[in-house]
Amino acid sequence: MAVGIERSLRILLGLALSMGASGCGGKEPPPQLPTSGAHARAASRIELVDLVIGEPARAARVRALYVEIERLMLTTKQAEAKELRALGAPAEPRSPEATRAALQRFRAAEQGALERYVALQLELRSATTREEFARLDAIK
Amino acid sequence: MFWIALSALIMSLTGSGDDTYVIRKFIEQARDTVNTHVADEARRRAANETLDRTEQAFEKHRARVGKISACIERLDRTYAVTRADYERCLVDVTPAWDAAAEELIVLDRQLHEQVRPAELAAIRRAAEPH
Repeated sequence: MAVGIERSLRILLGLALSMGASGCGGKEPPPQLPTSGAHARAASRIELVDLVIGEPARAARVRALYVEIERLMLTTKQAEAKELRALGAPAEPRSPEATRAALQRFRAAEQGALERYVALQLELRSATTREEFARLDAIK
Repeated sequence: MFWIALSALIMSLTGSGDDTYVIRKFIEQARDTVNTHVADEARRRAANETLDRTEQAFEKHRARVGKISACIERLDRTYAVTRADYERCLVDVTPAWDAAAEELIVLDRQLHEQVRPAELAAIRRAAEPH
């Protein structure tokens, strides 16, 4: 079971990473978690910032913010995957307390990432004009 | 119940699949195996009811998390937003996951009580992704 879960994780995370790296994903299914949606939106914009923002310094800052969002979400997925792997290990059945603790760590990773994400999103507004923001938002 | 919930959660992590479809398929496979391997009618009925409740709990949780995702995406697409706007979106993150964890723990315990270890192993094998 643990091997199966690890294999699935590797395949799915690999797929997510490759989609993030290529900056496009064809027909994507709807995001499943808030962090998944946030990751997809940031990853699709990294390479297109220079087309929207003419000033090199500001473009670099905005691109760095998108890169940070993407890295933040991937790090979060790795932390969450670690908890899922532990839950899927052959030690089952485990005590409710142990299960609760593992799921709380999963949730804490999600919550922590989203809190940092909010700060980065607010920085994005301060680094872009309303028009630039709208053009970046128009990118899928 | 973890092997079912975990497989779906793994899909949730990447956004690379329809986890509600996956959980439905896993529950269907688990139900078929319960019907095949659990000979006692009362235990079989109880196990099927637990599987039904698991599917419902998962779909309820997905709908709840989906509302958080939609709220964040709406703000991400709006220029004039504040930290307070985002914080309103995030207010349900902890309650949603804590509620799902408690429900999962209860359902998992119930299934362990309703089926014998060999039956549970068969259900688990059938529910695993191939």
